[in-house]
Amino acid sequence: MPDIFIAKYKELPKDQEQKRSNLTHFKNFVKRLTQYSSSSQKNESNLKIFSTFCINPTGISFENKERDEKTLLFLRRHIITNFFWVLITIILLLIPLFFVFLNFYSINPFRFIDLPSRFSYFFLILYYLIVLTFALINFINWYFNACLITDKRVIDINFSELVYKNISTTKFDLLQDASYNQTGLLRSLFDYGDVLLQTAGSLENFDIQAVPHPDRVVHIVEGLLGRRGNI
Amino acid sequence: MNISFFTQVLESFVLFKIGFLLITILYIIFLFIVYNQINSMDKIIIGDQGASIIKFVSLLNIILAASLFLVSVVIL
Repeated sequence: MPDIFIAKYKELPKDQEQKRSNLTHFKNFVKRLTQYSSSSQKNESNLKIFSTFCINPTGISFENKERDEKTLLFLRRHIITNFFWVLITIILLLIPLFFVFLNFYSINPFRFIDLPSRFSYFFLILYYLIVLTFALINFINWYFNACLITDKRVIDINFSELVYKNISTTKFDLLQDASYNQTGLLRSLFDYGDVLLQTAGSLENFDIQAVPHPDRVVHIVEGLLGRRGNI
Repeated sequence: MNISFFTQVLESFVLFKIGFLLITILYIIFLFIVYNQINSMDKIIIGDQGASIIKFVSLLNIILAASLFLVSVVIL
C-alpha cells in the first residue's frame, strides 16, 4: 500500500542543534558527577564542620534555592589558612601564664601594676573571654566564607569582619572561563589556590580564594560549562 | 593625710569598678552583634550542623559575660 503522506526530513538549524547537544552533554556531566561522588568518594559526600572541599554535599541548602537545583560542589578556604590566628590565640592564652612566672609564681598576673587582687581576677576572666571571642570571630570569618556550585549557578558568599557580607550569584550561561592560580610554597605543599571564574561583559568576576584542589574545581566548572567530558 | 590617702584609694577603686563594668557592657553588646550575624548567616546557608555549634558557643559566651557583669556588680 502506498504511503499517503511522508513528511520531509528537515535538518534543524545549526544553533538549535548545538544547543541540544550542549544540553545533553551538560545533563550527562551532572549525572556522571553525581555518580562519581556517590561511588568513589563516599568520605567526601557529607559535609562536616571542617569540610573545605565537598563534591555533591548532602543535607545542605541555601537561600533562594530552586526545587530542581542540585548542589554539586561546596568550597571553603583551606584549613591551613587558619594557622596564623590559631597561633595568635595560643600566644594570647599563654601571656597571663608568662606573667605568673614573671611574678615568681604568684597567681595574680597583674601584681606588677599594683592592681588589687580581686580586680585582677575579674580582669583575667574578661581577658580570657575576649580571647575566646577573638578566636570565635576568626573562625566564623573562615566558616561562613563559602562557595557553592550548583548545576545552574555559582554562589559566592563573602563574610568578613562581622560587618561585611556579600553574596554574589551568576548563572553558568554568563560564565566564560575558569582558571586557577597556585603560587608559593605553602600553596603547592597543601594543594590550594585561587580560582578565577570570568563572567561575560561588565559583570564582576568570581575570585574564590585559597580553595583546596583548585585544578579539580576548574575541571568541574569547565565540565559544567560544556568544555570537557570527563571528571 | 591619712583620710585623703584613703579617699584617693577609694576613688581609684570606684574608677576601676566603673571602668570594668563599662568594658563588660560594651563587650556584651558586641557579643550580641556577633550572635546576630551568626543567626543571619545561618539563614543563608541552611541545614549546616556547624552553624548550630557556633551559635551555641556564641550564646555561651554571652551568658558567661553577663554572669561576669552581675558578679562584678555584687563583689567589686
